[in-house]
Amino acid sequence: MRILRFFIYLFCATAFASLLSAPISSFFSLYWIDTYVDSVSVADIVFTLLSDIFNYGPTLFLIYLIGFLPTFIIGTPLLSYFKIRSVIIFGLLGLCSVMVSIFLVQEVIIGTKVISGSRTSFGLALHYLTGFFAGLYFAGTYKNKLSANFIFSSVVVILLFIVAPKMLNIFSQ
Amino acid sequence: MSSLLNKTFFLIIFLSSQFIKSYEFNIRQVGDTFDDPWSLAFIDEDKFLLSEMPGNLKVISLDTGELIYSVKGVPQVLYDGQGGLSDVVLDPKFSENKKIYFSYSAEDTEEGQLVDDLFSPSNTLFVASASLVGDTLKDLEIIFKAKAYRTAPAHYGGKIAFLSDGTLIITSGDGYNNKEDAQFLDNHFGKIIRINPDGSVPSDNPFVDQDNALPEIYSYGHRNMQGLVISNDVIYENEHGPKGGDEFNIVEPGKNYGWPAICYCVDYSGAQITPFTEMEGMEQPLTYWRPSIAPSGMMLYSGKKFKEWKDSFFISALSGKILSRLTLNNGKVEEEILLKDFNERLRNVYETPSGNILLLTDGPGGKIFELSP
Repeated sequence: MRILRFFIYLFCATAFASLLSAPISSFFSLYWIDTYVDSVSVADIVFTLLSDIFNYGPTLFLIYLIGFLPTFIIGTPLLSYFKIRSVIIFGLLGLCSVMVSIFLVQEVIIGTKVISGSRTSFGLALHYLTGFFAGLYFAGTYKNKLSANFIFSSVVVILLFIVAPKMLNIFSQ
Repeated sequence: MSSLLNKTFFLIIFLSSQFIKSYEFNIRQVGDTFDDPWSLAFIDEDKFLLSEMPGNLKVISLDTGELIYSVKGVPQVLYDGQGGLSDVVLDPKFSENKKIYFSYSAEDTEEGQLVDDLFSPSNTLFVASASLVGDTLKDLEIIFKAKAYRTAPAHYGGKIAFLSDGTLIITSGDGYNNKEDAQFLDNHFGKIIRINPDGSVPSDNPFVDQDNALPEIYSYGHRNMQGLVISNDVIYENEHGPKGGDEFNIVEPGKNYGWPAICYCVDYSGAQITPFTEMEGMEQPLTYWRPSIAPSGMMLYSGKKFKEWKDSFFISALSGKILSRLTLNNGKVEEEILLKDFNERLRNVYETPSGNILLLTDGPGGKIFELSP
């Protein structure tokens, strides 16, 4: 049961990082359009944000999982063994995970910068930062027991991610 | 009972007509396999020049599919990702001067060198001319080097065609990581280029007198244009969108085709590139594909063998694995999908001198198929 709980919270931390990262892409694409092409309206911002969270978020989740899985599977028991309980260390683990994920996907696996918003040093730094916060989130949750509320909320979020992209697609056409 | 029989009869007729429609060609494989074939150009009724991305230029017999000779003197190319030897076209006066033009990607350590990438060298799109003397390229001259330096070996464009005034039209892709540059005129990312055969700039190019604009630019706001046809001096091109948003356009001088400010697409990752599909001052495509078919080569068919397809555009598709036939009626595009069950990534499409259709498939081990009625 502890292992199951560990993985559920690890997936949640990955989802948390993805959720924080998706708007970085929205920000960079809208900023460029607003600065160099034409002004964007509030409706454009809302649509882009929702679209990126629901359509781009799952891609980020898979990419981040490449780093989060090995890092926390190895890192968490090691930290426990050495009795290191600093949440900052978990944050740094999260940061390193995102760094490794982005590096592997962009430079080794695909060879181009597929992660929108990461094409500038500032954008990359923001992505790393989301990894740091995801690490803190994981440190704060992974020892908690699973509550019915938590399971219910997770199911609602998963359903939302299945339904919302289709709704947005209909709306955009 | 009779109603049921009628329905069954019509169902059989319908299914058989679908079957016939799918197999209305005789398909013959030309030769064995080729190494990443990209384009070809007929030098006579039976022989064609074939470019292979690793940097090979070969003369092949259409009849037997055999290699007649490999052309010597091809410059070093960067064969990586989408890069390599690309288009090859003959000079309109080839029978007299034996001149050919070809595009390729290659490393470039001069201007604009990028140093932020550990794995890939700075490279760009080149176009060269040379004379085919015997089996050797002579008088090789680089006539265009795109100011579109990138480290990712992607989105070169690389198609070449001639206008009736003898100038060359070249497609230069957006380099993938440099998509925003397609909207600026100080570089060659995402541009259609017009130059003279010697590399000089025609004086009537649209941005020739504009400050901070490169004079070779003919139109801008493009992505990765891999299909180019010129007919009666009208330029038709098709280009890859990312996830959705492949386009078929008529290109006019000085116009902005919108990428990446407007697009019927999202990025491969699912991220929004832009919330806009149209904007003032930016051209709409004649048609677009959503989902993407990844349009590659394009040709305008003469109607020599398939009479009913005269003046149809044929577009080969990579991820779509189809051959698309487009007709233009008063600015409206109608599409027929052919070779649905062929299941090959199609790199390019050509018409043979006798009017058959020639298809190149993609990748190492690529094949050439001749379709006849």
